[in-house]
Amino acid sequence: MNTQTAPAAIPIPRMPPTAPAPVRAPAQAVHGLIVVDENRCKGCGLCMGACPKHIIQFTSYFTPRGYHAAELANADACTGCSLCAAMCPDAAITVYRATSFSKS
Amino acid sequence: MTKELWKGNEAIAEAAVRGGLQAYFGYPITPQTELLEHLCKRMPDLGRAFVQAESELAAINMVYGAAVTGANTMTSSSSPGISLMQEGLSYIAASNVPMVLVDMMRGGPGLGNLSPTQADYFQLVKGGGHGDYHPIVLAPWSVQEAVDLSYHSFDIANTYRTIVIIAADGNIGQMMEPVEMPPMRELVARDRGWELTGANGRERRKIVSLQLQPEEMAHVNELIQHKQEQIEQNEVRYAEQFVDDAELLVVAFGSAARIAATAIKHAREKGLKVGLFRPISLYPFPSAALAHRAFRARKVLVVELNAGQMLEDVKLAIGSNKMVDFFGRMGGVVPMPDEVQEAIEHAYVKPDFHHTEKLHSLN
Amino acid sequence: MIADSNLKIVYEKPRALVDVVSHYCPGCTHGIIHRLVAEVMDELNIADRAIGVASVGCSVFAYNYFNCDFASAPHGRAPAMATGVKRAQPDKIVFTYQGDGDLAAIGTGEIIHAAARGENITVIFVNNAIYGMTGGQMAPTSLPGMKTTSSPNGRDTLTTGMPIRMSEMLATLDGAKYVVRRSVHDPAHINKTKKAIRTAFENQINGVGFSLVEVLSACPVNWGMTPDAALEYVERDMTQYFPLGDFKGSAK
Repeated sequence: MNTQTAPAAIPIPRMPPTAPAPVRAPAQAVHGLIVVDENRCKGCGLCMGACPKHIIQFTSYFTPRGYHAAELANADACTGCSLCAAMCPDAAITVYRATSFSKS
Repeated sequence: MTKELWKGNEAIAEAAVRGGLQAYFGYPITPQTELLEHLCKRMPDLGRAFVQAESELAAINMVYGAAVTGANTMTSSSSPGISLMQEGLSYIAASNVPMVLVDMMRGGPGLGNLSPTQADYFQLVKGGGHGDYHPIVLAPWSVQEAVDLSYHSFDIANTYRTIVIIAADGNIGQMMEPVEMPPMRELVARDRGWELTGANGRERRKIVSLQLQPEEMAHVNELIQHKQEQIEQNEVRYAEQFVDDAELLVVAFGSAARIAATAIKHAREKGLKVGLFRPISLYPFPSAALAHRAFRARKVLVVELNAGQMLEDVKLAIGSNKMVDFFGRMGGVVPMPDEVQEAIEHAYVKPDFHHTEKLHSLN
Repeated sequence: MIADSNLKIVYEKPRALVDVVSHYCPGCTHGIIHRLVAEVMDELNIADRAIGVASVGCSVFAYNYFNCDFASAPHGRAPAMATGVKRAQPDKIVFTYQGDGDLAAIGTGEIIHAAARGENITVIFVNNAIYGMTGGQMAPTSLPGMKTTSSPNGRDTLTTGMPIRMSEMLATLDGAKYVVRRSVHDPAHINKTKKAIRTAFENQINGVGFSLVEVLSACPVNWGMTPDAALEYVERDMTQYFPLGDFKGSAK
């Protein structure tokens, strides 16, 4: 078998590993709250179309991945209905509800 | 030990069952269909998996599925069906999972005919699917030898996590010979660290063949090459007859070797010093042993049921300083021993030239 | 409950989704469907005994995204490979995840026969009417007139035929026990899709037999639309030709 010495390994640039999104809580909420993991969000905007209160907007800044992520524009109005999370292709949204309002 | 009369196809199937076959997937094609028919009752009777697939393409992919779970799995076909399986074989080779394949070669190319040939040699030995890999290819010349190789095929496949191919032809598949059948083995469950069995209690596993980064694909290829180096060291198999004083060395495998052996016996009775070198492992090819044996002979005659395929590996092994002639019949024509004997005598007496004379018929 | 707060988690990323960012385009509904399959795997607690078979297409890397054992099949062959896996490991939950090129073009033979044999597997069929991975060519399910890179003037049905309705075809097979078509263009339909996927997996657990969920999906990038507009195309145009509904078995 003809084997030559392999050339020195070329470092392959890789994306940094995903870190779990820090929970911006502990926080209080009136009814509900969403937290968007900016490492996962690709700025597709589908959550905005799904939100019945129209309280999700794009961030003004770029995330490290180069997207405008989604963010909650008006936390007081959020009911934790989860329609945004249902729509999200990247499972980037965690939804909270205030316990006094939970129906379970 | 008791010998029983067994038809080649059925004997190979039964030997595989006794050797530990757990899952068989196949498709009917002459001249190997009896193998599938034997298993379609035997496997369910033993509680083992059997599916008659919708095509050879589906069958090899079912084998791939069973193989990634670590099951001893096998399929069988004949030349046109083997062509269909090449995609699957390439993926299986890239995945380093074990399996066994039986090829009963028939006339080709194309739909060809049902008669025996050895014309799949390139397709099997050179790794007929895309990419760098070689299955282990074993060529029996009798039903007993086919039984022995089939019985041990899963051991060999599992040792190297590779494809083992039993390469025979319609002669061997259809003929009936007395056979000592080996005993049934117990099936043993194992976890060798790679099987897909559900991640319960352990890290999840994946078996894939896509490696987008060239450096990683190169690494996978290096593993395959390393495995093949070990196979080339350990799995060479061949047999010899009348070689010690042979001046003309006949090289043949499978059915062609059976016919040549008779021809050599008759030639010996006439005083010709002819011997037979019979590769049993076509990959790894017994190059070193053949080169050693050919060195002592004056000439070499390769006999095959094709247009000259193993011929090329013989010439590679022997080098350019020896006359290597060829006698073969194509299209499923099976020569009689006296035809081969005529070719032997012709080669024996002719002056040595270094260009290969290929004879397909002596008319 | 989060300490020092009045919040409880109502929804979070399913455990059966590996904690990596996917390669799918922004707005690609593969992501939604992956999430639904993972949610069902969590709810039914089957990730530990699941073996997925990835196919070839944009979802080729499915084996990097689901937290279970995974194999990778040649293009179109996943149902045959899944047959081999299931026959060798009948007590495991075996599923395939395939696109429209994989299932409705090169793999039509394999899906028909796996269904005809009644293999007790679950098939997730993502129909976005285009070949995403290779850059946007026409698929067997592309609608008439659809502009793709291999039909730049729009799909001409005179030379390329009409789109194939795979679910209707597969439902004619006795071996197919649950064949439904759903969509993911809004949360209500996403919810129905999730229920169908759950049924498809429950059927396997209960030994009911071959179950397939066809999900009408969007490909914003190759359709040349924004994610919102792409979902409108699914709702308005794709459901015209590919009606939603149950073709075999009934959703719970």
